[in-house]
Amino acid sequence: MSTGQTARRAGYCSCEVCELLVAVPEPDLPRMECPRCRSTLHLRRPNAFSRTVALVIAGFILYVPANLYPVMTIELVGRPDPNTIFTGVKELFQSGMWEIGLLVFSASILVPLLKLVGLSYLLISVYRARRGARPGRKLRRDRTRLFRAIEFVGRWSMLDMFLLSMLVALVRFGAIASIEPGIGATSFALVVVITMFAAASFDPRLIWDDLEEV
Amino acid sequence: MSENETAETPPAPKAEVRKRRGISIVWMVPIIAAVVAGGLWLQALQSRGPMVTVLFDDGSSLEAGKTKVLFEGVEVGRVQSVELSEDLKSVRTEIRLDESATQMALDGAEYWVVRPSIGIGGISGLETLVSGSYIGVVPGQGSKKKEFVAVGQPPMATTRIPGLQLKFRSTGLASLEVGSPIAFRQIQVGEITGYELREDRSGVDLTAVVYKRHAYLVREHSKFWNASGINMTLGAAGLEFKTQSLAAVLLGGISFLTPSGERAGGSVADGVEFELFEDLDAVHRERRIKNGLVVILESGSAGSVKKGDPVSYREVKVGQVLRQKLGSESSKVLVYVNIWPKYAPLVRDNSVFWNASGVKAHFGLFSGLDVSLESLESLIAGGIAFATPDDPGAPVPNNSYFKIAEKPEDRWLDWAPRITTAASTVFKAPVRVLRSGVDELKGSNTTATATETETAQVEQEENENREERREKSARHIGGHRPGHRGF
Repeated sequence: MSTGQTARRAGYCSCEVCELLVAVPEPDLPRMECPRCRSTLHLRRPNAFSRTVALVIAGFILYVPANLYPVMTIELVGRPDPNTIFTGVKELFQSGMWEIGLLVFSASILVPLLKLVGLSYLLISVYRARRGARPGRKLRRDRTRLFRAIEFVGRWSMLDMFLLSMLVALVRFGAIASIEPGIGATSFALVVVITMFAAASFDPRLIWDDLEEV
Repeated sequence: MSENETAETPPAPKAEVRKRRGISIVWMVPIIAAVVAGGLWLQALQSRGPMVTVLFDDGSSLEAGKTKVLFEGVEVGRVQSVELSEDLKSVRTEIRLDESATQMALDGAEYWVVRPSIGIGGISGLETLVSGSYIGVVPGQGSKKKEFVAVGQPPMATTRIPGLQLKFRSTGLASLEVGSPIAFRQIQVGEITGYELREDRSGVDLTAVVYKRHAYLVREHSKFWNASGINMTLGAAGLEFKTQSLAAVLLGGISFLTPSGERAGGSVADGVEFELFEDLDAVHRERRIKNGLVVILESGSAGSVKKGDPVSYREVKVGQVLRQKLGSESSKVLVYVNIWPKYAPLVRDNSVFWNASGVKAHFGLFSGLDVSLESLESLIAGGIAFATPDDPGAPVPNNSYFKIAEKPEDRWLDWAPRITTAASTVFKAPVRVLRSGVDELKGSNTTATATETETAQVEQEENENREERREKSARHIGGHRPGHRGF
């Protein structure tokens, strides 16, 4: 399966910021700058694969405490009530607010997990392609789409963190009621940030790269 | 930048591209994440103590994951699950204890639920009204144990109030309660923290605490008595009420007094045990018997003499009837009489005793002789009187025997020997108590004599001060007068 011309093969590089097509004299130059907007040019994002692998692993590790430890401790009249993400969702379901429960569940539990799994899937497929696997064009397209989805959905997980930071700041009635963030919140925020970085460090062009070597 | 290079120059040797070796710095991220997460996990694992099962009668307000287990107000564990037992008679709770709380999983540990309660003794567990109930626990000492049955109420002395911890031995609980006050001159200085039936069931052991700032009041020879309720005496002198503070009337309570000066004894340490007297009279009785004189009177019958009756000398109460019993051969009645310490010298080997009880006086009424013989009080209260001849004999030792006459002979009543009693000390005693009270407040421990000299000094100083002040005020007035005139 072959594609037409690629920029890299033709000795060109597209600026990721201003989209200027720049001629690349030599492929392995350490640092190139866009002559128009002075941003750094990459034929491929540097160390895309290993960086993404590292960040995905970190994301998986932090995903565990993010879900096991309380995200926030609501203290009502001296009675602390620690809540993990999951107990929060459960309570929402039990009190009949299953729509919101579903929203929280997908945004806080499902989405980060899917992001991590999705990125792992992309990384494995890239790794396998380098080892000589030749997936079909449609599959590659789906993978690219998956990557776009991951990139898009990433920031929405921060919604929880915004809400939590607001609650922590607003609900400060001393002994009557207060909300304290827990270890879970820190871990969760880190998961979200790290997966965002992971998605950013992954280069979707890697999905197609093996084609031009054929 | 590389566009500026020209192709005309001879080809320079190409720089070798060295692949970057080692791991990228990005890998620090998962490593740090792993270390942090691992640390958290390890910490959670380490702080996890034993798991115990506790059976409660009532599971209300016990919540899985929320109800805490507190020891001395510090969380040592948390309820993990609440479920009914198989026989539906109790509630099984699984409690995860902290690592520091391994002692709570030993035989002898006790668990109970703390709920809000309101009684006369006060409100307890108020915090649980809003914060929800918690489980109280005291550590055990035996072997490891997994399953516990909760106790109904907290065991003794779990509520540690800082201060001097005391123990009392009492014959009964009377109307004392946990929280009943301990008063020193009607000022609350402590409270009762618990009570327990003695193991041999011969009495009740109480625990109490005297607050730190008052702990110095308790000395080796302090006397504690039950000052509960109202003491009412009906006598010839009228109806007499004795009450302690209102709280003590409602709640019961313990009062105590400490002898002044050296007689107070040394200071006491935590856990010291005192006898709890049933009332103030019992305290006096004990002291009077110890320091006074006990004589045994032999009589044909008990007459109307009974325990507590006064013993009078020249119509002044100088002692008390302790008890009476049949002699060893039942041929006579033995009346044990206590003469108070300061009057002990009045009893000599030639003293005579007679029955002065009201009934006797009544009999005497017919003879027209004895009507006004004894005071009205002894007429009502009955009792025993005695007299000592003008030529007093030798003082008697304890447990001397005397005969008791049915009624006095006329000449006995005319006897008026001069015997120095210890009466003079009576006058001084209150002064000493007052002074030493002040001294104790100052924290010093002066002896009685030192106090007395001090008293004198203070009095002298006060007099001087007063005079000085008078002089000053005189000058003051004098200084102002011209001014007034000037106006």
